[in-house]
Amino acid sequence: MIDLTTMTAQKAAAAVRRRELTAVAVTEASLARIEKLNDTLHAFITVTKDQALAAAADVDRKVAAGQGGKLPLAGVPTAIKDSFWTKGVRTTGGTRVFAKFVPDEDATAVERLKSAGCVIVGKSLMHEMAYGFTSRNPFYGDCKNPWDITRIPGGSSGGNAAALASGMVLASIGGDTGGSNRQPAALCGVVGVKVTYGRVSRHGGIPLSWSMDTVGPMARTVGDAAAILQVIAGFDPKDPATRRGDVPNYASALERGLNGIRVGVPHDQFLSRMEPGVAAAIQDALGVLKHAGATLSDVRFPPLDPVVGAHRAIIFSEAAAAHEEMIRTKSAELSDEVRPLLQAGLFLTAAQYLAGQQVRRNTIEAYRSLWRSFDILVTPTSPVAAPAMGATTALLGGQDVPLLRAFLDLTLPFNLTGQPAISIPCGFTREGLPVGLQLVGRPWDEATLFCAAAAYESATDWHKRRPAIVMGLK
Amino acid sequence: MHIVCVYEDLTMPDRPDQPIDDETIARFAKVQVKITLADPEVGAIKTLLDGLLGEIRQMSFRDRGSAEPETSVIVQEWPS
Repeated sequence: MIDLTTMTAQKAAAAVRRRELTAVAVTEASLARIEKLNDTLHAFITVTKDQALAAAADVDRKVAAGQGGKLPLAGVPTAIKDSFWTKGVRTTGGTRVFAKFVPDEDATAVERLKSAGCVIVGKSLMHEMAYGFTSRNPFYGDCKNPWDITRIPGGSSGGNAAALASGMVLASIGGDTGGSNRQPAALCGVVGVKVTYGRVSRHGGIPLSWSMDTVGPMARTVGDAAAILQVIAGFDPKDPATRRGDVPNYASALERGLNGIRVGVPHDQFLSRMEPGVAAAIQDALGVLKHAGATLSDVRFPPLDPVVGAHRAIIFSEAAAAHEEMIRTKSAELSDEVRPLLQAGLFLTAAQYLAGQQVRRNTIEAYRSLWRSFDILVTPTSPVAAPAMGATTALLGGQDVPLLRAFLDLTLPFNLTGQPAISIPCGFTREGLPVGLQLVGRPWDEATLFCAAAAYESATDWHKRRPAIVMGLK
Repeated sequence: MHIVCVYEDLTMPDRPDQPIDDETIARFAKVQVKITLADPEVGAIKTLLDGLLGEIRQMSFRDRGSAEPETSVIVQEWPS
C-alpha cells in the first residue's frame, strides 16, 4: 500500500503523470487511511469514496490519453473544508441547519482543483459555521489532534489540518477569516496559507465576513501549498473582490533563497507572551532565518487592542447580516456556542460597524508605512501549543488569557489588512506538540512568502515528522 | 440675543456606567432586533456582549480619525 505520509502532493502528481502510480492506487491508499483513522480523529464529515474512485479513474484515463500535462495535481487526494460547495455532495458548513444541503455546483476553487486533477476524497470537519477555533463540533464529532488526541487540532479548518498531519490526504483548501487556516496548521504541524484578500475566489463558500473571508491552501509542505495556490488563484467574475491580471509563478519563487530578504520581528506586540516551548522554537527559527541569509530587525507595531475591536465589530456585524434569515428562523438548530455569536451581531449598531471599517483603513495605512523597512514579518502563529479539549484559557506571562485572545491576536490583524500570511512548522514543545511560525507579506506578494518559507523549510526537517498515531500504519 | 450654555458644568461620560442587564437585552431583542429570546439565550448574549462591547470600545476616536471606512468590493470596469 502506498504510504501517503512519506509523499508530497507534487511527487504523487508527478508519479501519476509518469504512470509510475495510478490515481486510483493513490486514492485507494487515501481512502484506506481515512477508514483506519477517521473514527478516532473525526477529520471528515463526509467521505466521498465512490465519487473519488470515479474521479481517479478519469484522471488515469486522461493521463493515458496524453493529457497529463494539463493536470498539475493529477490524482492528489484532497480534502475540502465543508464550507465550500461540492456539486452533488452535501455541504454542511459544520452545522445542523445545512445537514441536508446538496449544492448543484462546485465552488470556484473546488472546480479549479478538479480541473487540475485533484481527487476530492471528502468534506473535512470544521467548527460550526467557521465561527470558532477548536473544531469541536456537537453535530459531527470533535476533531482530534493527531499528535495528541486529547487535544484540539485548532480551527475552524481543524479537519484539514488533522487529515494532512495523519496522511489521509495530500492537499486541502480552507477558509481563513481570523486565522482559521494558519492556527490549525500550527497546532498540527502542517502548512496553512491565508492569501491576499481577493487572490482566490470566494464564490461557493459559506460566508462569515465578506470584508475578510479568504480561501487558501493547506498542505504538508510549502511547495505543495504553492502548487495548490497556483491552481486556485485568479480572477473570477462570480467574486467581485478577485483581482484581474496574471497570477505569479509561485514555483519559481521557491528557489530564490533568503539573501537580501529583510525580516521584521515585532518583539513588543507579537512576541511578548508565549509558552516557553513555543518561545524556544520561535527563537531557534529566527536563528535559522538569519543563518539562511535574511536580515532581521526589530519593529514596533501599533497597539493591537483597536485592531481586535475593529475585527470584532466587522466580523460580528457581517456574520449576522450574512445569516440573518437563519438567525430569525432556524436559531434552535444552531449550537449553544454559535447561536449567541450570530445573534449578538444583530445587537451592534451601524456606527460600530463603520467604526471598525474606519480603523481598518487606518490600520492598513499604518502597516503599509511600517512595511517600508522590511519585506516579511515573522511572528509565532500561536503563542500556545495545542491545548487540551475543553480548555478555555492559557497561561501567558503569568496571566490566564482567554484562548480566543491567545489564538487570534497574532493572526487576525492580517485578515483586517488583507495581507497574505503563511504558517509553517518550526519545532516541537517538550510535550511533542507542534509549533508554527507565521510569515506575513505585502499584499499580492505570496511569492516572497513562499520564497522565505521554502528557504526555512529546506534548512529544517520539522515538516517531515509524523505523529505516533500513523507510525506503523500500512 | 445672548445664548447661555446651561450644560457647561455637566460632564458627559464616555461610556455608560451600568453594564447591560438581562431585561435590557430581552427588551432590545424584542423591540429593536425583533427576535424573541429564551431566558438562557438572553444570558448567553449578555455574557458575550459584556466582553464584546468592551473590545469594540477599544477603538478610540483617535484610532478612527477622519478615515473613510474601508470597503470590501473593488469596482471593476464594465464591458462596453
